[in-house]
Amino acid sequence: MNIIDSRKGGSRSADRNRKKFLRRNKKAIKKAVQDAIQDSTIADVGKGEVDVNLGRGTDEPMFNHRPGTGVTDQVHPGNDRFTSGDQVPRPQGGQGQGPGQAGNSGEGEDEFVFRLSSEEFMDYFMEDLALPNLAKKQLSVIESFKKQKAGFSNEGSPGSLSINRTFKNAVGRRIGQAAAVRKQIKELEAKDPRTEEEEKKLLFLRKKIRNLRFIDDLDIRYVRTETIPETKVNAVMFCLMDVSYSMDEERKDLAKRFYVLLHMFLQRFYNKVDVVFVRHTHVASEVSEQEFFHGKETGGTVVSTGVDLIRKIIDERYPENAWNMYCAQASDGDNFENDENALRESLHKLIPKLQYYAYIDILANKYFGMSGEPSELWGYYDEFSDQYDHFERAAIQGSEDIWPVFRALFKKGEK
Amino acid sequence: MGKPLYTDNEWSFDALERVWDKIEEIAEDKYDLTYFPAQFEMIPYERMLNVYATAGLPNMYHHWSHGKSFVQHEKGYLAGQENLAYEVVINTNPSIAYLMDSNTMTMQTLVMAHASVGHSSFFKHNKLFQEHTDPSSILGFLEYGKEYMKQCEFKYGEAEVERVLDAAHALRFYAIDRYKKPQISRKKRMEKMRAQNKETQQSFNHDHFQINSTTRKELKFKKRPQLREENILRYIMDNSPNLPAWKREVLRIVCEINQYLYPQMHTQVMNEGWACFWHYHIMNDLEDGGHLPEGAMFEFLASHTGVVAQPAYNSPYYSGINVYALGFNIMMDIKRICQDPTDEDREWFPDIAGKDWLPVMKEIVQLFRDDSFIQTYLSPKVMRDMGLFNVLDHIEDEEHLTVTYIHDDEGYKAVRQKLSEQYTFSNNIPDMYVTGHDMQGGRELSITHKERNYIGLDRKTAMQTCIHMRELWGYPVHLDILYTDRTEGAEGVIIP
Repeated sequence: MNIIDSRKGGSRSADRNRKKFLRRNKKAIKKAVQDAIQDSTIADVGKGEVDVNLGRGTDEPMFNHRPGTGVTDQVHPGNDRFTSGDQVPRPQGGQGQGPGQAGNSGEGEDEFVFRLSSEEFMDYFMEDLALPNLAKKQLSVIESFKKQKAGFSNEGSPGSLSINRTFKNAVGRRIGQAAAVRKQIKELEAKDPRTEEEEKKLLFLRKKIRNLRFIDDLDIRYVRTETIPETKVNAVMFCLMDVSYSMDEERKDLAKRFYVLLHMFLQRFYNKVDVVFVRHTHVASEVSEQEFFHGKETGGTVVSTGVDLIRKIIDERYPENAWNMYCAQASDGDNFENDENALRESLHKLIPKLQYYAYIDILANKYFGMSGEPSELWGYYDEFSDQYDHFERAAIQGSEDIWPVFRALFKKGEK
Repeated sequence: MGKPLYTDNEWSFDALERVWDKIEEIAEDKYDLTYFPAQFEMIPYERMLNVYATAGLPNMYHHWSHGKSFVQHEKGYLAGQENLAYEVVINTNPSIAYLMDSNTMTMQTLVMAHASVGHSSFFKHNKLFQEHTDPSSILGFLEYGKEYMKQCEFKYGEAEVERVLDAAHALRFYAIDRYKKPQISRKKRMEKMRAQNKETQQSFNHDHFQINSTTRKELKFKKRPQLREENILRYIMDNSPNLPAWKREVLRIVCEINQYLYPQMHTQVMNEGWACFWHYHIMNDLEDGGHLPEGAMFEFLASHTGVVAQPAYNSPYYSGINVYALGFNIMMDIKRICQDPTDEDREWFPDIAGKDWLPVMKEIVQLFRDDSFIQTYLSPKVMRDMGLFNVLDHIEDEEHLTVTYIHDDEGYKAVRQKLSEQYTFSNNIPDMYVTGHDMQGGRELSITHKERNYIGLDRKTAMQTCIHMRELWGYPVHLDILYTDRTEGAEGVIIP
């Protein structure tokens, strides 16, 4: 009997076919990825699996019969009431098509939905952001570990031999083993005169002490190391966004992608990442993520209110010595004219407390056809950019700009 | 009474070995069955999904459609909507049977009997398989095909290979020689064709529009109106004016694989019926010999009845006729007719009533395929037992369907006829064929769809398929629709 055990080791050909399939449906997948980013919370992006709906499949066309046409016969089983000549009302939706036709028809198929694994999701997410490979690699490392000494063990590699501990053990053992012998020697030495036999024994005992093993296998100890997750400290990420009327869905989507990326990076460096959402119009409020991205607010635009609120939150909940603080502001660049002084003052108080302040200018002047032109707020921030090393600003025109903007922050993180 | 061959219902390699030896003993000694040597492969569900995706063929070339099929089954399976087969077996020598590692020992026993005795003996003896497939060389061929596609992807790019394969797959039901052409062996034809391809290709590469005299003779640039070539893909492969050699080879691989799968499409009822018939007998023999542990028979029967169950037309589980049920019922009935014929059987089946059942059945398995098998051996008793009735769906009657024949004296023959037609594979796909190509003028390829019974051709998918054909052919494709039942005559569509 010839039996092959193929339980282990997946099939690579299945993977290749799947990759080809994914590549073919890139467009639909990208849309699903985008929807997933919009619908899930920042911290959850990339954690779950995502369903991709490809709609009705007509990508494998063949010559088909048109359903519902023609004169067809169909044999069915289980007759319990009919005699020949009976007429039955046409079933709704049924075409009188049967097993022979099933599967031949491309049109009749249900919508085709399949599931993207979280790994694949991240690939598409990163590709969309034009993340370079190095950053991708660093991001995909879920947790970093470090080795830590954790006592001693009897087993180990010669390289990790603990000489100190081994010697200590050896000395102790030698003292213990010699103790009884020394006692005998002392007794014998105390005798005077000694018989020949006693002399012999004394010599023998002294030799015995000299012959005690200097280091025994029992003494050897190795340094034990444990791999433990690297201790990271906590970080809090403030998302500050202008939610006045001019921030439309497209801008919010770009902002969200930026926040997601920031969150992912922070998670790599810190144990715990809190996310605080502060939105502002002419007043600021701390809101849930749902409200932050999807809530509708109207009003003016006074940035300083948001900055003030962040400072207040820091004072109340995040003591500076325990938290690393990051702030990312997204805006279309508008601000109320008279707010300039208040904003300057408030920011000067805030920025020194932070690890990093990022300002992203999203699609400023989109409606004036001057895309790429610096916005009003951009101008205000000139002085901060000059004064603080950890103040960065950038303009984003589309999702592919997010990564370059991010790189600056990433470099800081490496330092 | 012997000792049970296994007691633990968790399978183990030892137990499988003992059981398979016993199954072989029964199959060979008691029933004198012959089949290909068996090879088993124990696989987890992921592999089974992959086996599904490639129609059971190992080492299939890579294509996105296999990935699509994989994710489709995977989703169904993981959501609990779909059960996977306990086994898949393909027609190879040695015969490879894939067994799911999640089966119980009793299920493994059942599927070994089902696949490696039942199906394998069918593959070995059925004429259709003998004529159209070469089970010893298929594995090597698949390996070659996969390797060839890989090289092509490397040389010409994945996208380019994919385009050819997409187009070829669109014609996969029209890539089959339905009748064996006995004059030249397949191998020789291939050699000749390859030589010709090479020559044609060289001359075309040399100068696209200058065709030397030998090529001219071979290509026969003449439209032949009497031609009716159903193997459209092969026609394109043989005659396309400027198909590069590598694309021809890709098409050839697709043609060969489809040709290999062709007998399976025509023998579902018989093949499954025969396999169920044997697993049923062998399991009973094992039980009678005391080789099965206590309780195994109940597990077997529960599974067996599930497999051969036929939900009625008005059941929520109804999705057409279950080929396992139909096949098993007819097979069991043939045995009954041989062993214990009634007057009715003597009247309907004078040739086999009262004969020795084993040789009779072996001969049937050898000579028939689904349509002719049903046409010949579906007995009135099976029709009554299954309550078969025929429903006519007439396009002109928008409100009603008509029950035309049922399982009674007037209806038997007609129901049998209709069911047989239902299992005639060519009835289920539109009738398409090549009528020729014009090499004097616009190099158009002409294909015709012949309408049957007013069943229309789906225009949208037909257009898409024609676009694929055009891609392969390289010049316009002309699609004629021939109405034989109607008075309007014909109409034509051209894909420029």
